[in-house]
Amino acid sequence: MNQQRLLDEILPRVTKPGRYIGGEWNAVRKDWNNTPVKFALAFPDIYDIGMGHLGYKILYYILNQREDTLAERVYAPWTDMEARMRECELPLFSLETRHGLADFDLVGFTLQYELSYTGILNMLDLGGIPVLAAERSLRDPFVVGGGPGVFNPEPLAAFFDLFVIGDGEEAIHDLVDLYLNWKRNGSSRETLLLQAAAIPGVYVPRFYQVKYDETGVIQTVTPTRSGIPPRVQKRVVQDLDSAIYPMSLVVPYIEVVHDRIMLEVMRGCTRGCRFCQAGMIYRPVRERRRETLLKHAEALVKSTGYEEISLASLSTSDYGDIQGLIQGLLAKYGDCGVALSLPSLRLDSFSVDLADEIQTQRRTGLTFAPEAGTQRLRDVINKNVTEEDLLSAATAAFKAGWDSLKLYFMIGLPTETLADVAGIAQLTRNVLRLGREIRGLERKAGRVKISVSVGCFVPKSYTPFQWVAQAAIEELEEKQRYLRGLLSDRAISFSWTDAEKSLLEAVIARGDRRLGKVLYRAWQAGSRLDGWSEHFSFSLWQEAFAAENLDPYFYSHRERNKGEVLPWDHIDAGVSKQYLLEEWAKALAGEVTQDCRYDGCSGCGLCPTFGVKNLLVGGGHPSEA
Amino acid sequence: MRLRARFLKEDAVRFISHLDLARTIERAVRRAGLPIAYSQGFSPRPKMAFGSALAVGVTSSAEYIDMEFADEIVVEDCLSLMNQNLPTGIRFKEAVEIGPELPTLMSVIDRASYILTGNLGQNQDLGLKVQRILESEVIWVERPGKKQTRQIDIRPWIFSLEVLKEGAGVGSAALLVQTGSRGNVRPEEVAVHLSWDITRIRIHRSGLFIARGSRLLSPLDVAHC
Ligand code: SF4
Repeated sequence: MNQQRLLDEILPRVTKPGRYIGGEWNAVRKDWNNTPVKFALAFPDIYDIGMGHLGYKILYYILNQREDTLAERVYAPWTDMEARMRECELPLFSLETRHGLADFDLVGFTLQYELSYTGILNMLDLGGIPVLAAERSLRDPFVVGGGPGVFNPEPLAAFFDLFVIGDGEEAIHDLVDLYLNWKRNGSSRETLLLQAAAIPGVYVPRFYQVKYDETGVIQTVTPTRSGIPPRVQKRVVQDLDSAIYPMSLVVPYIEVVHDRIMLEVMRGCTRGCRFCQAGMIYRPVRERRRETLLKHAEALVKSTGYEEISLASLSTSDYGDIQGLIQGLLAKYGDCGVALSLPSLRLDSFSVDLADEIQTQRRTGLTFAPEAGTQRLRDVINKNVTEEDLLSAATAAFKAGWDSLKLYFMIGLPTETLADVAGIAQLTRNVLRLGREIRGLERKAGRVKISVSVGCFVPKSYTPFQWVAQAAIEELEEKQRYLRGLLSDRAISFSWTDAEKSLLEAVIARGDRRLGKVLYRAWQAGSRLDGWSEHFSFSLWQEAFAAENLDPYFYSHRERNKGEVLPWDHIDAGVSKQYLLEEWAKALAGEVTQDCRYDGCSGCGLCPTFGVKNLLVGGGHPSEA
Repeated sequence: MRLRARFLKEDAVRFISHLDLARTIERAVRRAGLPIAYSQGFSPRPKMAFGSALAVGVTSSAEYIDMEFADEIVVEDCLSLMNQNLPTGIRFKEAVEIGPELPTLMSVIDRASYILTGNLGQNQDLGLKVQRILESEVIWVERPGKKQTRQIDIRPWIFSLEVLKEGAGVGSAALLVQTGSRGNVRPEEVAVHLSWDITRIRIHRSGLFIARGSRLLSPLDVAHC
């Protein structure tokens, strides 16, 4: 690539050129010509977002640890940069050595968000790789998908050569080993794909045939070759404690999200919230030991110079040794300008006390997520917190001196009525009243602020709500208006998500292979970076659906038959359909399910079928044996 | 202990902003394990202060920083530790210890010199344009303000401008201007008057100074006074 042209002619004319320069501290630049396997880790959003992604930090480190492999980062360009690149015929390039995407052997994309999918097509195209997998030749890289989106990869089936389902730490080695072997023997692309399909956790969509009935419902999904597994089980790294974790992280120049050390204290969550896909697909719970985490922290503080450590997981206050860990970290780093933060707090006063111990949390504020406004609905979604929990957490926070709190809710949850929506406002006002009372003692009642942010519920695969109909746009918007009316108060700020975006998320999240054509059309019509409101155009999507003769409401708004073959049934997340159906029935009956970490197995099926278990720091770690 | 250092911002990092640069240096200090002093309060900040912010896209061989340490350190060690911990394109070149009372860089720096380099295009006579600027009594530029754009005459703040090189389609000029709170010229403003498309030229800051009568002192010189 013409580097000078990039530096002299393109970067001076784009916004935030620092996104495209690379060369950051700890970025790994290997000898291109003498490294056999070249792996691009491509993120379908801009640098500012992609650099915060923990999964890629782990894979970048693991791959670059291998002598035979180099891994480089690739991000989506912002639209101004894309225009310049197309104008100058500059292909999408990696930050480390500025090689075009097509120069790599393997190109990974992480599937974090449905609305980033057209961005993937755009990046492939900008990188000079045929967008359709079927059109790729021996010259082209293999395009690999990973991340939570693989728990329904079907809408992307036409664009990917293979997907890796589940934890990537071990599977990525299997893939690279296989690639090396295949390259030595110089055989066809199909040979590699056939061999890859034999790796546990690898799904090669082209070896499956999907048949639909006349209404568009799937009848069968069957392997087209012998030896192709009818279901692909996700990979699970059972012993997370001794799993490799990055000892260095690329330290960006420009500001990015999560620009700090992330210590992954555990993976998985078994609280069993019924709307939450992460809680189902990342099971079982695997905690790292305090000593391990302190070691990670020490290495990372040294190698990055970061001023903040964040304790990452789906629900950090659930980590079994949280107090010990925080004390250990504070004792070590409290005095040398390295702060701590807790991004995901449980809703209780214990968590507030933890946050109180940590000074940084003053700046970042506290967010609580009751998710629903009434106890009835919280029972339906199995969010096992009560109004009392919220009020006691809020009390603790106000007493400890916080003036403002953020509350997160959803609307459009199954069985929701206007009374539940009104419950959101009621709960918010109760918190506000409490805040004014408590802060009033210090004459600071006027400072109390509550921000309420309300998302639209999007049903996802591998959750007990995978069969339900999403509320229609009109209904969601009606509820937003209703709530806005109830929340008008100068001390309350109210924000909500775009119902049209949520609809599209729901369509893609539970879509089938036929949606590939819609994605393709939408991309050609200009869809990219749709997560950014300034780029999202719903009418563009509506046209794409119409042109392909598909109805978005078929995917979002149709309640699935319980016996129906779901597009993702051949991907095995471990939790059984039987369990999900039982949970769905319990939801309708308003019955709750306990956390299997503490209260005994609730029978999701994962542990016995996969031969894994929850591993808590209290309960004997394999690495201690 | 207080230290004043000069460093370079080279090509590899010319597209990062002043804030990005400050953050990068802070993190390098921490990696280097230097005993930087911190401010008090909820979010302690390392005690570092810069001379004059550099615009995105501009390279420099004359960036200055004052750093305060909680312990005594050896100047040479500090330089080498910093350089081992800085990404390519940022290089500490020299440093001196300064007294606690020495005024901040920001409050004393009042001159900046730049080198502008760009394609000349056809029939462009750089020398003539330079002469025209120097002969002008006033040079109006527009500065976007909070409410409205203001017209400002930058001519009194242009102290010298000369052609360094002209030929083979490329030209370059050296510029010395006022900088700081009592008047400030951006090199791009002069470049425009030389008919240069500012997204197509290179700007390099070659010096920051403190004017003492007719003499120009570098921020390291004043440390000894
Ligand atoms: S099998 Fe039982 S213990 Fe294991 S994750 Fe599922 S519910 Fe929990």
